[in-house]
Amino acid sequence: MLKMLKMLKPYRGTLILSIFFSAVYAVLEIAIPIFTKYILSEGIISKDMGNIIYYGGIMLLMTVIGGVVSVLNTYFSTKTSVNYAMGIRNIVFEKVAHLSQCDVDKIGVSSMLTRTTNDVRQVHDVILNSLKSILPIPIMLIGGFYMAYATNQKLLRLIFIIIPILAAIAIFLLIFIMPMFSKVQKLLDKLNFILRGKISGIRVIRAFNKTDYEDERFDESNAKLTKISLRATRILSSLLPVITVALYSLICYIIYMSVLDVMEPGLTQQQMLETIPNMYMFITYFALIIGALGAIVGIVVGIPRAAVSARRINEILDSVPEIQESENPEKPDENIKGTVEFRNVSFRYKPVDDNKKKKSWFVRWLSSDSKKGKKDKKDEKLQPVDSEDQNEKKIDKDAIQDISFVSGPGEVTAIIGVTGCGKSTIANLIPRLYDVNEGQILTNGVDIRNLSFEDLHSRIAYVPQQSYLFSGTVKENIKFGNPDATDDEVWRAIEIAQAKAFVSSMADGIESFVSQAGKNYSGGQKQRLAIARAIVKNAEIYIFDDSFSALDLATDARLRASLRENLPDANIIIVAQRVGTVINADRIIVMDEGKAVGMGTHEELLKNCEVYKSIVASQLSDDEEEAAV
Amino acid sequence: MSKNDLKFKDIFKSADSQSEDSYFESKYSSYNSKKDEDKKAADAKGTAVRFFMLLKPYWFGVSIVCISSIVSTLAGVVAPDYLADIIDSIQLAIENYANHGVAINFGSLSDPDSIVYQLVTLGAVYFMIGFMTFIQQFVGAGVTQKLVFKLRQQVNVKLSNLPLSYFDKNTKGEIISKVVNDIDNVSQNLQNSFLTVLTGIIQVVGALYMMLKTGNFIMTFAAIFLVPLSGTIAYKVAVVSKKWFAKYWKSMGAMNGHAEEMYSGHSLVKIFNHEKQSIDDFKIINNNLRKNSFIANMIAGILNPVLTLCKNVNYVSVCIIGGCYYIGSWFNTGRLIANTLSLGSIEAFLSYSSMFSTPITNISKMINSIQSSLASAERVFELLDEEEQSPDNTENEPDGLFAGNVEFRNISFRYKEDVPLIEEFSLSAHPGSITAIVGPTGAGKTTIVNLLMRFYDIQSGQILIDGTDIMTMSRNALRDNFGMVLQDTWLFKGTIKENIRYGVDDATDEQIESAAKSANIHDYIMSLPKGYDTELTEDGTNISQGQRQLITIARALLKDPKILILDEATSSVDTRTELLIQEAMQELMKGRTSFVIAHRLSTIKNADNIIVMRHGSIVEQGTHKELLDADGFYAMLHYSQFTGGIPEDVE
Repeated sequence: MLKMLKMLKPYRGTLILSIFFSAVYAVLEIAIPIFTKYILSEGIISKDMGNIIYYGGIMLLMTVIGGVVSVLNTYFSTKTSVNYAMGIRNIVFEKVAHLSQCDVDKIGVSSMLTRTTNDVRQVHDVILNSLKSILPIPIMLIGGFYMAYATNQKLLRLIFIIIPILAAIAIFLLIFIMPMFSKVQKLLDKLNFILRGKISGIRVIRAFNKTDYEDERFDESNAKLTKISLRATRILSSLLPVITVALYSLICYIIYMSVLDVMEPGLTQQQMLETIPNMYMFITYFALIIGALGAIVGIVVGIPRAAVSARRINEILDSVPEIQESENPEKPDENIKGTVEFRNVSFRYKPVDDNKKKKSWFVRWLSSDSKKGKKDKKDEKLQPVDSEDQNEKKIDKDAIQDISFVSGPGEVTAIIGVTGCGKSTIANLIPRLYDVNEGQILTNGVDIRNLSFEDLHSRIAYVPQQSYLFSGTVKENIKFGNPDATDDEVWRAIEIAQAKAFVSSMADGIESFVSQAGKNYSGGQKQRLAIARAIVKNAEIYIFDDSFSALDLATDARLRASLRENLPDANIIIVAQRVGTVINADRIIVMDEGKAVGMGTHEELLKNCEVYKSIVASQLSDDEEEAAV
Repeated sequence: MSKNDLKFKDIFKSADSQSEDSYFESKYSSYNSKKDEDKKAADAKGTAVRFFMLLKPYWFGVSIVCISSIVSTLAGVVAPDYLADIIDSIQLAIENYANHGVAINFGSLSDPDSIVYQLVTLGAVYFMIGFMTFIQQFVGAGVTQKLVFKLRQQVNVKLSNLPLSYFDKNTKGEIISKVVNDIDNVSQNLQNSFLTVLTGIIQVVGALYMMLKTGNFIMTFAAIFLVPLSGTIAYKVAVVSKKWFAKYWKSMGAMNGHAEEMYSGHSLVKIFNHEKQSIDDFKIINNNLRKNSFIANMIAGILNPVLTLCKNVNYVSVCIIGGCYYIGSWFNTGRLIANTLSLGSIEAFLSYSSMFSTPITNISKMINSIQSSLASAERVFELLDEEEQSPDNTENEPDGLFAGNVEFRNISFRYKEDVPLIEEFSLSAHPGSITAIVGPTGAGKTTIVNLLMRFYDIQSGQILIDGTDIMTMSRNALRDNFGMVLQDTWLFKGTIKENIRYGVDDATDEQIESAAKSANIHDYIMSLPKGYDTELTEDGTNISQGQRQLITIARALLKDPKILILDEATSSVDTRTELLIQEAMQELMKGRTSFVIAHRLSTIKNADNIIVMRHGSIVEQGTHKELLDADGFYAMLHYSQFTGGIPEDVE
């Protein structure tokens, strides 16, 4: 929460103005009723038309001033609020953009989304509503207390009975309602998550007749969400009437006490007669104080939900990217271009640790919010690691182990092996989607961890296993690889990627619509567009992570031929399943269970690598093998 | 990167800010929203009406809320009178005590004129207000939450019944935003807005009744003459601000859409150095959101002071006219007025006047929330009004599973009206046979599967299973016969076991294991520390693409279907593994009708019938050997993988 408040700093100008105007408005609000009284007492009762018009005029004038102040107040407070909300969203989005893939996986895309939109809204609503009343409330409180004290010191004691009661209610709220709101936000995440799955898996769900099951899952979470929100809102909304009744009863009591006071011995006649007006005034000021205290309760009531949201946002803002950019990036020698070297590289994936966050919400809320935070983190480190966790780490084997190779410009290095042997891992390590555990990866002679992200990524064009396209047009998707590309360059990339025929057959050509994730294109079309996107980048190193799998063999062959022809100086690294794809590579690395069991050309490997031989045998029948050789 | 920056701005330089909105919003929202824009404005009232119609099933709760609000509002109207009465009688008692020494007698509860009785009555009235407010809040919260529950449920069911094309046209983020953000917005504001409007109406009607009851129409007029004006202003402002709130929620949807895509394609964004661009795009959408939110709130914010002014003008008029009455002449002109008013009546009129205009001010304060809720509700309705897939026809509903004779009879289909895809396609397949479909990408192979499983409906021709037209049975009955592995592997967050069991709820662990063994993924799963209980991440990113395919194959095998469809099911699996799977499946394919779509010709060599497709129709058909002998298109495809090229125009 504190952190969220600090983010208000850039908007302090408009914020201070809005607080100022809201205070002025509060003063006017209190003042206007005084004049309505004067109209009555000095005007009508005194039968003085002049006074009626005079005070009426003043009142209207103040209304106009109040109106202007109110508009100014709205202007500044709205301005602060929308800028602030935009500010937080930008910060959150920017932060996520700089996180590593594994960090995103940890929180999950659905939860990230709820946090960027819904949670930000919760926090910003509450903070601004509270800030708006930050001056008016003290003005009301101080004014009310002073006047009430001046009127009747004895009765004022009552107020000191009320304050602890209100405080108790506030504490109750924090302790009992907070976890409910925490659950509410989590369930919103869950709904979000179920929906995402439902939308992205819609074909499978329908094919397996699982729509009812998915609906049930949704209903279940929905029902839970409803139940908890209902409980929370009911408790919250019941508080107001309870407080109202309590306070109104106090007013009755005040009247009773005032009358008793009159009968105290030693009062003059004058004092007695003043009792009623005094009592009337006391009730008025009492109401003022109560109003202010009520407003404070109102703010406190809003805090739990906002605090929960704030914590969830902070979780994103506080997370340190798993992959860190070097602080003093090196500049590689510009004369060397496009070399990749693996030096004894080993890597293992981190297990998904779901046990880590078993600590109660409350502790975590406190720790994320207060100074305790640091201490708490230390504690976390000191805690013994779950034995299960340890086992997991021991058992979890290296995804790749002790891999070394060099690939230079103009060369094609292919990586082949059975499913799950670590082929893709090698491809993922080069653009630093993950960092190596042991060994080094160098490009152009520099450890990739010493390069700036931008420098490293500008040298690499990457085509992932699953070709993801963004919604927009074909052109926009390809220009994603190189925003400066001209239409000619886009077409050329499409041609190299063997996508020209189908792109030009569409009515809109490169302006054709692409829906999210490229759902309106077939697997092979998507892959070729993803390849075109990489080609247009003009990088030194091209990584194709099993990117030809959805292409028919003819297209695959043509594509490889045109790649080599059009990118003569590029260092091409291909992860593949088909022998046909790797057959002409300068270097084939054969992977088996994370280890490189063979390296060389097709012919060399056919002679000395058993694993390779068996892969080839599984794919090519005798006559085909002959044709291949 | 600065260059890109400039370029990006250039795109919008010529256009005004409005088109910036539409660029992203049309990108991330429903395709047909543009033409509906005008219609929407007219539908504002309709939305409100429809919204309240949703409350119908909760009429009991709603009436309790209404009744308790009426009671508490009326009690609130009466309470000041009671207080005034008490003060009057106490004042009298004190005066008597002070001036004449008459001791103050609180009296007894049995005496209605006693101070104690009056105090207790006032206490009771206060208690009534509190109690009724409690009921109203408590029941109101129930109604609201139930309504929101229902709304979410309806949207979810709707999503289940929408045709696939809807999901092709709308981004996930946009749809999710409607369910999460918009419905949440409705829920947060519904209760307060509703109650403010309700109690407001009661107060206005009550006050008007009381004023008219006095029979003094001049005073009544003075008290309310500006109300029509303020009402009109409020209405106008409401209409305008609604438009901006609608824009606000639309930008919210656009933002969600953008964020969803960027979060999903996170590693691509990073590797292509696109963080800056993506952040810039986000900032533009975010800025639209800010702008729309600012304007909407400002418009609504101006309303309040205007209404307060109207209210106070009315107040002063009542004072002036009332003063004339009290003094007994029109502005000291000497023209006397008959029927002069007492001070009490004037005070009463003053309080009626404020009772009349306060609710209008209150409602106008709520206008932000009301308009924002309505705009959100409208977006939800928009989704609820989307055209659903054609209803199930159960005329020839099968009793059980089919034998598996599949026949396509002259079918034609196009996704877009003007782009022909499948034309006059015919094919038949029998149980125990394997039909392979090959052809260049984009030839319509997957579309055939989409049609067979009725993800899309054919436009002409017939698809028959065991002689029954699939259009004459329910989709569920049809799909029960299929086991399917798709190009896009879809796994959900959950354990591997849950993912395999997806097709068959009551599958035993042994059955799951044997399916996994057939798919050749068992050994891999067992090598994981948690085995079958290993959690997959949300997008299944923690295992390789090939392993994902194997899990989906196990899932399809577990279902033990009559008709098996493998659409590029093993494209990311290495060929050795594939061979093992094929061996296992040889056994499984016996007695089933199998359709295999594959690029690897080795995968389909054993098929009984190979269909070679090109441009949506069949160009060749036969077994591997027959087709090679024919030396046609298939043969060309087959040999091309080694020679490195056939002309590109084959597509």
